[in-house]
Amino acid sequence: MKDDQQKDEVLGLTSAFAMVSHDIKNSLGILLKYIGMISENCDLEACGVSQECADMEYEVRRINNNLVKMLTLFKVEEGNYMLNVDAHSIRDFLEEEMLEHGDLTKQKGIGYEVECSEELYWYFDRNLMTGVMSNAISNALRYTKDWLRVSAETTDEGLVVTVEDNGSGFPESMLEKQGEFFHPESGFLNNNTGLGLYFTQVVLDLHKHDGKRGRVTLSNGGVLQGGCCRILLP
Amino acid sequence: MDDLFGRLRYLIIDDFEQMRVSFKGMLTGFGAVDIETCACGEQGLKALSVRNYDVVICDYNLGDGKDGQQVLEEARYLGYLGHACSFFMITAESNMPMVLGALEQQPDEYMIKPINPDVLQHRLIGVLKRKRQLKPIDQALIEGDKVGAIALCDEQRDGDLKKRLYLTKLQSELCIDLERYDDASAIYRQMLKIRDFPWANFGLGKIDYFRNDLEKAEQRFRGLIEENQHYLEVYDWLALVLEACGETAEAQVLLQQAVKLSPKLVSRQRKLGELARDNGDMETAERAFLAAVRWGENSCFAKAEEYRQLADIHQKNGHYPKLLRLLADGRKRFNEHPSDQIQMLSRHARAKRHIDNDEVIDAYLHEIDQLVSEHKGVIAADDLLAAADDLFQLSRSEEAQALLGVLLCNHHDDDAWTDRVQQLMKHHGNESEADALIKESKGELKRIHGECIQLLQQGGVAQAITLLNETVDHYPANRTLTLMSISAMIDYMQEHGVDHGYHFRCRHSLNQLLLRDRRDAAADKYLHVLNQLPA
Repeated sequence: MKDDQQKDEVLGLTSAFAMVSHDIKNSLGILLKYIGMISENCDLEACGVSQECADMEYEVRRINNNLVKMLTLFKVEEGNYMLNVDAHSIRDFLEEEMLEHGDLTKQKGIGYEVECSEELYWYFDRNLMTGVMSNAISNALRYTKDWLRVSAETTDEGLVVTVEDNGSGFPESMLEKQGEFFHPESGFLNNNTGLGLYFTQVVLDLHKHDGKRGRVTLSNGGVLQGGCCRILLP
Repeated sequence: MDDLFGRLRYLIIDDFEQMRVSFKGMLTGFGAVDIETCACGEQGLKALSVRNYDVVICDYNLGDGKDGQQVLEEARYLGYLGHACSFFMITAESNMPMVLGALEQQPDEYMIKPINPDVLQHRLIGVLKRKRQLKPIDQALIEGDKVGAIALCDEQRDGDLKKRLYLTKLQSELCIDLERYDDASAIYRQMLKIRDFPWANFGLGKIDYFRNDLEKAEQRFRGLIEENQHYLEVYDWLALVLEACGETAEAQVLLQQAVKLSPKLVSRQRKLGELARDNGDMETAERAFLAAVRWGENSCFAKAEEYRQLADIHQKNGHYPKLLRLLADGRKRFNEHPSDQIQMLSRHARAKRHIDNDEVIDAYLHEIDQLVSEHKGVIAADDLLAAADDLFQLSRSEEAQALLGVLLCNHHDDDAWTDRVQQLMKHHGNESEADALIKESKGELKRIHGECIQLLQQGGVAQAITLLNETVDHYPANRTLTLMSISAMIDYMQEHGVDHGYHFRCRHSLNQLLLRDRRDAAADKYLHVLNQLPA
């Protein structure tokens, strides 16, 4: 009886958390809409605030993405996440992920290329992978000079999606410690990249297939000689 | 691309005006012209019933009325949504078990708010490319030609993997409808080699159930629920398996879990009510039938059945005001189908026995009599039996036996129904009259049946057809003779060329059969043969 009561209380707290988060999400949605309206209707260049407007949108999206990530992690933790694996065209998926960040790329004058065969299909939970991609893309958008490259190909281990930029790359310290982001003492979870990596690994683990496990690897170099985020999806 | 969007018809269902305006603005921006909007699910269904739309954009959360998933399920069930129509479900949350838990009733696309217009456009182009090739399949299904639709699925299995999966799923479901279990099972097994698709496992479990391999079916269904407790459709099927194994108590517990997760499904509440009633748990039964009535208030899935069951419980408990209110509502609600009308009338007559005099009861009985003689062809045997039960309780044995006579004529070659009639009459102390009634009702039909078999064997096809059709006109719900007449007419036309009278008659009879039982495999097969005949 007492156990039941305790369980009820915990559930109550979780659903309160979920409710508040949804309310915040709604507000963020409205904020995003207003920002879109401002940048559409006003001559931002003339006002000299185009950079601030782009940054504002970037930050709002970041809060939104983090909230979504937290809500998802909560559900996964509780065993309540409903995995919805379906076949998706990778090219369509990647193009869509870039379109999702379209306002930002336009405002910041960043160009991009999507390199992927039209015949490439893969099985995954679209929502979860959207979170993963959105994370990698917004990170690249933040540190790139002016170009992004998103590509995908299949290997023996699974599908490999790579997000590259032509910025100055990840700091050495981060590359050295990237294997430890699962441990709180690494300090990784204190920054945004850490939460992103953690989220990515949780998502990839949910996609375990045929005994194969996915992973995310950060490096510098690649085609664009900048930061390079490589996601392996089994 | 503008041209692609411009030619199509769009429907937006969202309870927030701002969202409707926003979606309409986006679609107009893509070049769409013909866009309609609705503020609730009920309006949306109404719109879907009168026009064919190419794209439906529907919010999941629609306020107090139906939610988006209910709109989708009802629209599909009622045949308002073809396979060529693209249904977009818009949700506020990223992970909605109530939407994602549906293994069979999935929308074509999910999108999560906030919606980015460029992404919506991109998604629309993709789905429209896939979907427009499905129009011929829709056409075949509208004509009721499932066999033809299966062949079309085979032809289209090229290119796009997403389209291929969709068609494979559709094809295997159609095969199950036609009782082509080997074909369906082969398709599912092939799919499972690619990936552990839950819908393929679900399909295999259903086939196990239909083949009466209950142990295997139970294993599969349990495995699916273990994988994901939100696959509520699987609960329904597992409950059927358990019931067939005699584990009715366990079946009840299972459905109680399912309605706890999602209370809105009328058919699940009804089934739970029936199980609980049979288990003697009248409290749960009453709650479930009440819920079925409540959630069925403006749903196409409501049936007179739950009113009837609830009425029985109220009557047993002596709750007369509740009972009379329920039946008055029921008669208003189910005033179209004679089967339902009869149910409500016989229950109402029984309920009023204590209050009203014989004249009032007579009026009810007269109405029942008229309905039966006018609509013999469409009244289900179960309903005739139940109404007869009511009339026996009113001590109206003669009227009750008239209903049973119709039942026996419709099922002259089915001993199971004869047994049930006998049991009912025994229960009400009319055992001595049962044999005479059975002999009298079935005798003539048996004679005609035999005569027709003889005529067909001796080459008297035309004579047989005339005799069969005359008989079917009198007993339109007699499935055996109806199928026999259809088969004879088709044989005749295959040999002598198409006769328009026969052709029309066959189609009409087949439609009636499928209306009574959507999964009448024999009717499906004849319909396909009929469609193959040159017009």
